[in-house]
Amino acid sequence: MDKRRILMVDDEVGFTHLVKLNLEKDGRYEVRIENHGAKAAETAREFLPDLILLDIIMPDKDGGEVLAELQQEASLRGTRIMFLTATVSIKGVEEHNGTIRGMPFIAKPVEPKKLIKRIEEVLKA
Amino acid sequence: MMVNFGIKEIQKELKTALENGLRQQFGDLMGGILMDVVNYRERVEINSQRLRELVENDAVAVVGAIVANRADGALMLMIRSQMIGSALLSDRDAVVRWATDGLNRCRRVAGPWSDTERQWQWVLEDPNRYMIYSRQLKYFLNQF
Repeated sequence: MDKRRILMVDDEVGFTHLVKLNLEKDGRYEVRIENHGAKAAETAREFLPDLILLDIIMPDKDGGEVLAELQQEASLRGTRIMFLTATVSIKGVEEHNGTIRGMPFIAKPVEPKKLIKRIEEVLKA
Repeated sequence: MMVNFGIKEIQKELKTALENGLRQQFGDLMGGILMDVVNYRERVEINSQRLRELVENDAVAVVGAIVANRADGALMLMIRSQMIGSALLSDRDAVVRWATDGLNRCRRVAGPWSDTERQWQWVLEDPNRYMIYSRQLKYFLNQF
């Protein structure tokens, strides 16, 4: 079975590597990291991910700007996008049933099991 | 005749006195930042559960605005508000996160916010100093 392709866009280098390790250990995912929001669309066009995990606050381009760019890309029409952020608390996300402004969210810090469960939910949605 | 001030009147007078005094004592830069603390959420106690809930609820609103790709003065106000709330909760990581975002974003927002670059930098230079001043000021204000 083909592995699901996940692109992680987040400026926290250590965090992204840890998540990549955990997701790839599961065996079902191929993970690419992009630590610069400004390069996210370019990397996504090249990698063509099934899902993008997108941070909200990044120094060069924030999650909202990246989302707007990605939504313009015809080649990414089928790509799911989920925000992964420390800006909102776990409780805050749960109170909104994991969705803010119509977009799926998950709060940092996140346990690998919970992240995988949420990824699968979003991919099946 | 004695004037019987209600709490609101006393707060207003105190705020005016503080606002003038803060600028005189600390200068425009630091005085301006601390004035925002003076105006933050009347009667909410530092470290309280109520404050934590307010900050968490406001964070959802900020994130919603960013996801909607808004870049305006209202968003800057919400970010400043988050920075103050985080300082009152002694959440240093959050203070740094919001101050960094405020600094990056103020350069892109038109109007008076483009002049606030130095303010965010001042917070980032020593987040602990900012947290201590903010907490002391709010604690003092809550006594009245």
